[in-house]
Amino acid sequence: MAIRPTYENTAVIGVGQSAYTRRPDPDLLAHHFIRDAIVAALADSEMKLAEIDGLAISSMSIGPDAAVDVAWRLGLAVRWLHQDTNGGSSSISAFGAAARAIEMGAARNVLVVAGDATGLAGYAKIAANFNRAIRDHAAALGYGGPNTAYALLTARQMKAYGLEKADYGHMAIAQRAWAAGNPFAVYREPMTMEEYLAAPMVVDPLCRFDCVPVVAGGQAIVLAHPDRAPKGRIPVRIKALGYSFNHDHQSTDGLKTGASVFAEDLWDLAGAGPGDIDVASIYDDYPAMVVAQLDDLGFIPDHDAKRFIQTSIKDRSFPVNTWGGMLSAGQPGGTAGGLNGISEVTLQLQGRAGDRQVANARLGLSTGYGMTMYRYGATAGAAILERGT
Amino acid sequence: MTPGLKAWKCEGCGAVYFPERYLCAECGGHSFEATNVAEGVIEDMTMVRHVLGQKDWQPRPIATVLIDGGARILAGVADDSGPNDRVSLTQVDLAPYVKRKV
Repeated sequence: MAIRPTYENTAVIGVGQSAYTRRPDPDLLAHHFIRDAIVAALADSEMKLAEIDGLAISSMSIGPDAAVDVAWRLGLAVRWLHQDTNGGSSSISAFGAAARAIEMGAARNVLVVAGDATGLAGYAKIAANFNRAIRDHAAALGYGGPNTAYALLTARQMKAYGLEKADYGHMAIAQRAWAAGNPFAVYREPMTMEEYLAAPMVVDPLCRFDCVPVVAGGQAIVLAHPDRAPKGRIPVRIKALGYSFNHDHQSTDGLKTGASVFAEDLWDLAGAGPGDIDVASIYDDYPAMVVAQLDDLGFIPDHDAKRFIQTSIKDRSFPVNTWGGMLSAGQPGGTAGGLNGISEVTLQLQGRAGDRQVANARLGLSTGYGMTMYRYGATAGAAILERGT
Repeated sequence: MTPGLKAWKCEGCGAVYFPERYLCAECGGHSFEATNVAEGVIEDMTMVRHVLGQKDWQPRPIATVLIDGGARILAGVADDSGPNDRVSLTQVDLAPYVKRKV
């Protein structure tokens, strides 16, 4: 008999972020951006630093420091510590680990943080040395980073689903329209299809607006008992979590992500289905991966992605990536990008999303996807979150 | 440059891998032998036109190649071969390249 976990003692009570910047001051480290996010999240949670007794961190650029070094530099003494190294699914992974830690009594008040400040040269170095497979077998080809893997995957998806360039354009344009309501987004001006289609190719068929813009930045959220939420604040509860790592050994076309492995269990645990979701943060390093995850999770009737984009995303009637997503708000490393998705769903369910608020948002979904080990991402995770009482 | 691609074959079930593995995902076996794979078929192709942090970059073609025996790899394309073309494999250090089979 499978265990059906519940998360009675855990809620997201507050969120915070740093400024996002495309061209950071080279003296600023990931630590500084994470610090700024923590200051904002603690203020939002009405919690003192000394009350935090658990820390989960993910970053590609804190090295050579590890999690405990960051705790040291940030004045945190904790009894539960977790470092997550799963790229774009790090934060959804750390989020689940933190919830389980609270439920097991390992900590009471947990900060889940993420941030990166690589600069362009630092990013290129990380991209070429991402793991042994890329360093040894791909870097010399001119691989240059994940753009190449997702260009090849997007070409396969276009063939398999009958999608055209303009279909991805509708997704990027819709997210840009959402970004207008997010003061932290680095790109907030409306984008037209003409502009999208005229953008220079980066790695065919991906143009500039298909490739997530790298920024420096940090995100933080506070998980604690729902009773610990500030007065009048709606706690956000966890209905279900799902994870998958190395689902297909990099042996397929990659059009199905790890979400395809856990989707059925996720909805079963949540007691809900795709039609019940009011707002979704779908990890968007590339538009094709939003399509892939939405299809894996059962949102796309008859797997007709072209129709779904036309009827549900283009007109924003299905709210996806309502802070602009990483494609418009910026990607402060995949780690903080994924945490931004959780943060956004939290704000939406709490009714605190300002100009981009989705009316009556009760049930939300946030996903992570990442670790492009060789040909596509090998890690995936998702959380179904609920407006609490 | 050496002809063919050095891949790894599970001694238990014959599954072919690239890059190298240490346990077989198919049968759980732990013994592999090096195998030289001569050919494959291009599945998809791209042109890497710009790379973050690089100036003076020359566009580079990269393909997904299904190699004989079953593994899918990333390979540089050394001529004007394209999707569905049958190609010969070569290797420069550890990096695979392909060109049209003659």
